[in-house]
Amino acid sequence: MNSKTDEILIPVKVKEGMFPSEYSVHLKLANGKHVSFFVDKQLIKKENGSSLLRAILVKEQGGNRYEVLLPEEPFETATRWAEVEL
Amino acid sequence: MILSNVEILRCIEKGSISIEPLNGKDPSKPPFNTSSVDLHLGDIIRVPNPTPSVVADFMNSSAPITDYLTNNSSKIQITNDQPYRLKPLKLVLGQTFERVKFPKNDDVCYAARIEGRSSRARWGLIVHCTAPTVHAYFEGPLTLEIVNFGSHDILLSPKMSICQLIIEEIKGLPIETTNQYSGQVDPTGAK
Repeated sequence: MNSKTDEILIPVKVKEGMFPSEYSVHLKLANGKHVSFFVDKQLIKKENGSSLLRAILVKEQGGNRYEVLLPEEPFETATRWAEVEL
Repeated sequence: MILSNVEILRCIEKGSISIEPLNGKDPSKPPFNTSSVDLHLGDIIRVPNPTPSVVADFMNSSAPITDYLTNNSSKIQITNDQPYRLKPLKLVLGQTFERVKFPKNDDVCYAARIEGRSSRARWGLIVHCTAPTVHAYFEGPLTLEIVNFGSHDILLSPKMSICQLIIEEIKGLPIETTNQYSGQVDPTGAK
């Protein structure tokens, strides 16, 4: 088994957070639910006007779906495990 | 297993964990304790606005909860000349001056817990509300939920020693992936 952990970049919407070091992140999960959490600004990559969140890729689910480990726990789901569609 | 001061420093020097800035590299002197490292308060305090009519509904929030928290609190810059005076039974949010990082390693991972300082605890000052865990892969300053459970006002000043970080090695890796994208940072193949 390959034990390497991989990163994945997830498109998100960001706003300024509560502290200068962080963004408020809004993310739509694969099930359609919208979640929000704060992350360190260094975990957001800006590319062509888009914001991409660095997360840990857990599993490819098929199609465009990926199981990921978010860097922080969203307030709405209270779990870092999430399924996203890219 | 909890890392000793000597082992914490060794892990920092190896790059297995990061604490920046680190004020001192002698494990027998501050910021090191025998089994933890002291962290300091940053210079921004976030004070919740008094909004007694609002009820927190985590399950059915109509708007992002991060927006609510940001829009219903005030940011206060503290200085040594103008520290924040924390009244009894009041909660404010702060962050550590230091950034910590528990990077993605292929052989060993670390996690940590924030704990208070006994010298502060005797005044009733706590630094987290049941959320002390810093999980593997975390990166950034640590957010503190600071409450004064004592009877006296407490001054919060920038860079005051406010908490300690207890670091542990995780037995086994949190994630073992078998996917075809090993080494890639996005599923399209872009590095």
